[in-house]
Amino acid sequence: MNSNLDSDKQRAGATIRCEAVSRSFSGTGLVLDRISFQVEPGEFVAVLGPSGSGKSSLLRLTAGLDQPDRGQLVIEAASGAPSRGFVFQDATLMPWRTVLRNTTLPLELAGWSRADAVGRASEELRRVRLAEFGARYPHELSGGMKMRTSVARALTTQPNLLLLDEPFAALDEPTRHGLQMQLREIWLALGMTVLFVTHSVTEAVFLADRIIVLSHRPARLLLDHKVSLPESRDAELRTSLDYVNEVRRIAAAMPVSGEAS
Amino acid sequence: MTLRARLASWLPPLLPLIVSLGVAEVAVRLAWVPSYLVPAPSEVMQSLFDDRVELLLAAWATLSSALAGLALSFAAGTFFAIALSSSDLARRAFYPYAVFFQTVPIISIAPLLVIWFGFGQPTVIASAAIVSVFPIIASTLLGLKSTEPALLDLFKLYTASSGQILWMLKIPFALPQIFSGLRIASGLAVVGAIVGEFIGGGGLGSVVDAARTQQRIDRVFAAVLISSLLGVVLVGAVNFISALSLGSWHSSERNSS
Repeated sequence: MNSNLDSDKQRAGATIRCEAVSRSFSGTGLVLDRISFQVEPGEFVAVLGPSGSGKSSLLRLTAGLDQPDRGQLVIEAASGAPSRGFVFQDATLMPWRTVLRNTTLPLELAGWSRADAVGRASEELRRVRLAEFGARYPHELSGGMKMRTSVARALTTQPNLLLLDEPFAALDEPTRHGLQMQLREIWLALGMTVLFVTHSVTEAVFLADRIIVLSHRPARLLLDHKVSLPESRDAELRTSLDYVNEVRRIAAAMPVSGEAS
Repeated sequence: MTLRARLASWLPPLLPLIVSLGVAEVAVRLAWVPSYLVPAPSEVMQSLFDDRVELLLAAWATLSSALAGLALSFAAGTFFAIALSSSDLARRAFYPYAVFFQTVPIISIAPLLVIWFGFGQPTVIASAAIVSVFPIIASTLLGLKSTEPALLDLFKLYTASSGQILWMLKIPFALPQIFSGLRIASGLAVVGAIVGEFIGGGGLGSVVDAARTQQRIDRVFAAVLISSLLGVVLVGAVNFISALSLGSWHSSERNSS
């Protein structure tokens, strides 16, 4: 990790206030059922739930890509208007743009000059250790590198809320573990609020300081749990007793597949 | 590429051509087929050489009309497809007419074009444009409508304007389909130009028509051969531009390069 970049813990986190939010869709019916929780500035929260439970719908609502039918979801930042970064399940890179130009996209859309955008994006590419790959096209990258590009793109606007939708689900285990540690380091360095959606208990426990468990659809809040693990997490933590106990505790709260909730 | 590899690549398409030309030559020379129906390939070659100036001028006239018609249909077709893609209501209202327009045989409306545009190149260009516009509309529309939803979400997340979504996302995403439509349209533009020349005069269409009335079947074949070559040249030019534009990132061009 670049030490110059580590020092810029400039991004005050946003607050998320989710108050009795419900959302239904034609075809699937009620997906989210009166979900309430609050995320404090700078928290790393994992939203855990079985596949199809409505985790991604909740994340889309938080991103402002969708609106709740009932209840309200408010994002506030002390520094003014909250800015969001989103990392999708797939890397969603534009194949006709190089890694660098994919990373500059949010800044170009915001009207930045090319030179400024390139400078800012290069900084984030260095942070995710892709500085030498700026001229490559997405088809020339591995799955993990694509996802790191996607993370760098989300960081270019210096968001105070970073939303991630199962970003590492399609990756092999060593790559996934590496990226988890990298994401945790980025969060420790920058201090933004993170909402991380996953269906993996081990991933949620390793990454987050707080875990929200959702039930099967229609999703209700089953558990809001504070993770008792040290701030700095490395590969050894995965074999520690504390970690295993946390995993057991969360796994016990997870709805069993096929169980009606 | 080694000589053996070159032979392996060229021989399969060349062999049927050489054999059929040989059979045609023998068949005409031995009078199995009357030469007023099918000319001997050697006679066609002779005609190509003897009438080279006239044929080249006619080919140039046809090519320039086809290119102008293609440019017109590309501009109009792309504009129409963008307009249709931006509104479901517009698509439902106008797309059926675009489909209907495509089914009208050009030969039946060519006389109308003469009434509207007079004899000469404007009629030929209009004919080339009408014949080639539908593939451009259909392919461009398909491309614009197939933008990846997650990428659209990404642009919405950063509150991109509709202009930014169109120019920075939808059009680049649609480029492979746009080139696919242009490839079909470029061949059709030559067909449309020649049909237009049958009625409006000039170019290879007139050469074919005049040679037919003079019973010069060898010249008809020579002109047909050149018009086919024009189509090949136009499609080749589109392929070249497509490879330049998509070669660095799209799988279709990467695999073929």
